[in-house]
Amino acid sequence: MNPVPRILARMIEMSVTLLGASVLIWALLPLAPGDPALRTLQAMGNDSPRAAEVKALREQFGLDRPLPLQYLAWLGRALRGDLSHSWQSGKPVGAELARRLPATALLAVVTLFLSIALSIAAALISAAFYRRWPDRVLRAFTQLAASLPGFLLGLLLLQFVVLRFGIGRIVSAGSIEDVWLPALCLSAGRAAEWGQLLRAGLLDALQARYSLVAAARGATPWRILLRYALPNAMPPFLAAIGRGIGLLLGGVAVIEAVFSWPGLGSLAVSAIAARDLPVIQGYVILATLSYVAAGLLADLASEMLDPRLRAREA
Amino acid sequence: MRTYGRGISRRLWGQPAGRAGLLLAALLSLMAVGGGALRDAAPDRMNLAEKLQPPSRRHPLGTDQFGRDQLARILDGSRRSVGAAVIVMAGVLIAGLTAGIAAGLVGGWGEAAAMRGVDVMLAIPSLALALAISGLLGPGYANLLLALTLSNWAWYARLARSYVLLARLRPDVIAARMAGIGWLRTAAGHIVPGVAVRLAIVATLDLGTIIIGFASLSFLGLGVQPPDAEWGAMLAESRLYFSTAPWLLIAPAGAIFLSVVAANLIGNGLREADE
Amino acid sequence: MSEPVLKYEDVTIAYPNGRRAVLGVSLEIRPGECHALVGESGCGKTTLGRAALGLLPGGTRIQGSIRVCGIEITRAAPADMRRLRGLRAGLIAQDPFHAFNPLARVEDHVAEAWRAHRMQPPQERILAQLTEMGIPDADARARQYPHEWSGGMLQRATIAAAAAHRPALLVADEPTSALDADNARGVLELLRTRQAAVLLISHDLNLVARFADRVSIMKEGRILESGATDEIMRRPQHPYTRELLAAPPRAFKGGERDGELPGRKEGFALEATGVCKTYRQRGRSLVAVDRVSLRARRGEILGICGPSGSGKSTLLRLLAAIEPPTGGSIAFGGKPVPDAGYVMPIFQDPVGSLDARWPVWRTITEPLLASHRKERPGRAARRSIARERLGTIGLASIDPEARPAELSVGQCQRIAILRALLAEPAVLLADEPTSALDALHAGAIVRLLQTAAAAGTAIILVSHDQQLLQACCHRVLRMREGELKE
Repeated sequence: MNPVPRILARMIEMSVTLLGASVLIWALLPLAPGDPALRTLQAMGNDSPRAAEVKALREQFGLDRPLPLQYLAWLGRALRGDLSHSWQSGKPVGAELARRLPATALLAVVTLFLSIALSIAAALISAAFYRRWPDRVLRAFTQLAASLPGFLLGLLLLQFVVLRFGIGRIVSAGSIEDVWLPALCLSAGRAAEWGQLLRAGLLDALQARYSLVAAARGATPWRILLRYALPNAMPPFLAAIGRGIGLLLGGVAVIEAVFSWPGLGSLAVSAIAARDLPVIQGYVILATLSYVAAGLLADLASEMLDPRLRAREA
Repeated sequence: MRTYGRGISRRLWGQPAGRAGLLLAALLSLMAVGGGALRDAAPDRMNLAEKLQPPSRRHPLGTDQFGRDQLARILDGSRRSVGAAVIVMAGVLIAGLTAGIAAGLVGGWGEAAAMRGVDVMLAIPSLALALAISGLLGPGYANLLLALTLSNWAWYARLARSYVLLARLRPDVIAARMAGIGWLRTAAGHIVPGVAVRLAIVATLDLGTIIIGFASLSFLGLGVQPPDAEWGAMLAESRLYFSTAPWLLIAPAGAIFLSVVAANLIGNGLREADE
Repeated sequence: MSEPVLKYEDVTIAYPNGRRAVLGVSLEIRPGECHALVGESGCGKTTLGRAALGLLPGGTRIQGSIRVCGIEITRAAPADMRRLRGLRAGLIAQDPFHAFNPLARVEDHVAEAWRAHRMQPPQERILAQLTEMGIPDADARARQYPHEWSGGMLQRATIAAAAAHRPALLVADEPTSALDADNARGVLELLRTRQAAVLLISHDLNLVARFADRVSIMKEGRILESGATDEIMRRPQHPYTRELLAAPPRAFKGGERDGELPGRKEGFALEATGVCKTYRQRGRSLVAVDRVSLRARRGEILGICGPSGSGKSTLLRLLAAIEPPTGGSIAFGGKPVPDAGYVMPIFQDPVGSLDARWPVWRTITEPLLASHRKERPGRAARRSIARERLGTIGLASIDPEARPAELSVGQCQRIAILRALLAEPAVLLADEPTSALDALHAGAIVRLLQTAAAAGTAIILVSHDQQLLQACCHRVLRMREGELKE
């Protein structure tokens, strides 16, 4: 069984999907109202460009060519990292994204670790004390967290923790000291969702006959939970995390707005307010790439864990 | 089919959590439908003399920075907030069910092409797609509903198709086909009802997420435009006054929270009732 | 006489939901003895077996006394129970495919017998034991995962694991239910060589009788009678035991088996010549059915017998025209494609073969709505047809408005057969139609099929149960590795 061709096949399939997605993302531009050339000139400070200037830029952008050719040209530039210029600032979109990426990446990574740690701990405790008080308390807490939108939690935390007790700051600089509150807000819902999923998987695995057999051979309940139930409950949990990583980049926009976090989300929100489509495109491209890559990683991790999945592919 | 649905709703009503969810949802729907009549104070009437007043007998939930009655706005906003959840859910369900069932039944090339398209839609994270579509269409209530529906239906299409494919292998479907029952009759009798119920249950489980998504984008200013009242937009409008007038935060936040709780209680209850 | 290894005294067990699964049972097993506990599913035999190992869910109430190797289970501390399990008493579970952690290698599963008790697993002894159990090439195969093993081999590995510490007692819960007859015999023989006392739980009295020293018959939580196996087999006292003994399909042997078949002149209802089915799987081709020829006359019951994986199910799909063969031809009454309703199926899972949402009358009369029929009856007419048909097979007491979930498995299967017959088929394909049923219901199904055959339908009956086939078929063909032999 050689895993390399399998990964390769998966990546080819993924590329085809991404190519399709690129058509959708590109289509934002021709579908949008307004002339891209005019908008670009205006963004560069030329408030009332002459018709000749607009025409020249239209030709430079290739806007007079048929749509399929425009798409190919756009794709070629995008693959080289050229995502054209923001209609707001006139700066290259790639540079704008790169400037905002570190703050969002920091937020995403901290959120991810926080969510995984919280959900695994909660699920293990819940499953070990099934239907006893630790499970009941955790479940009530989980239901609460799953029902409270992250941005509401953020607003409440800002209002009743930051302002009242002076913990943290209202306007953050995107640094590691400020990351905890927004990360907590993003984690709460995710940890609740993943924790519920993992708890259900653990309980299923504990009901499975192999767990009974393990108990019949004298294994302790914790040994059964950690060595039998946890690995077997992992694949759906990993898939959810994979989806979650990707969705994170879509979801940070609101939290970043609440905490004035200087990341990609804030950039996207201001771009949407100004209908700055090149920046929106860039943001969607980044979100899509990370989403697809995270999904692939989660799939591969599940396969490493489960020999039956490996066999099905071979 | 009819009795199957009735059995599930009876079991849902039988659980304490499910019953609480149904009652809460009934209350919210009542607010949405009859909210305007309950409170005759006009939601948009400004009165700067009474601005930022704390809750009182005259204004049970206080007033906002323009002196508008907060309770009237919450009630008026419920129409749009609750309505949005219902409309988006119905939209994704109908679109997903139609596309998925059609693809699952047609099979062959048509199905392969349709599912490639769905895969492409699914490769873009739904909230990012919703943001992009909002950016394209511009802010507005109808535009936001459209953006949320367009960015969420694909998943339901794929789910519906996989349910159809599973159902086609069911013994009762095979027996019907071997007896010479036509495809359409078999689909209508054996396949579609089950798939629709399954999908509706999944959609209810997702309803909480849809409400959160709508409230979030609305908070970002992509939804209802002033002076219309809507819970997420109300939060965004009064953000600057929270420190002096916390009731402006508590009331809409509570309303959003309760509607998500109702959706989650019903969704989880339905799933249990279905098992 | 030596001290009993396992002793139940007036044991009553109630589950947390209040259901009492075991009522006042007393039983003892002496060292080295094999005691079979026989009864239909739900009679409490599994509960009784698990209670001996203290493996019932939390909140279960046990009254009376259960002693294993002198330890009182009902009052033992958790740590004492864990020392007892695996070391002095072992469990061999039903369905070996689910008894193994699918993510671990088979050798890990066996080694767990030591690791669970914080001991170093002796690698060589594990391999020696597997070899002793009849696992070929144990060294390499032990490093495989459970899904790469066959059920019979897995069950042997389970015995090796459960008997690792030479326990005094083995509880074997339906150890052979997932195995075919040859494997079942082998596994039971191995079990007896382990020198431990065995509590053998089963629903199959005839199989168990050959291996057990003593037998107890259980029904609805009580032991009806108990005694030496010979005694019970020869002189069953309780009417229920007699029923269990009489139930095997021998009882319905058809008299006309060698005589003239009805409708012989009408030719063959189904004729397959040199049928092949090859699947392509990533470049490799897999031959599922290899040049099979068979002919079924009208009114004939043709049995096809073979172990799982022998291609029986694929052959059935070909005969049902669900899939086309890759070679050879099938003639359905002289036509290459069957008319609608010419061939009808009967499935292994009776409940699943009915639409869970449909009332019985709708399911039974569904074939009347086929698109080739000119007249389709209305709802009222269909209801009365269904009621009348139910009456003809002795199910008049069933409400035509009932859903499958409200019926027993046996009733569901009879309704599935009614539905098939309403299509007026020339051929019925029955795939293990009785495997989900107990002996009594299986009898009713067989009688129903025999009636249908007598009316001129050709029936192809696929099963792994040779006894059943011998008893009710006119001819039995054996299938092995895709080939069919007389």
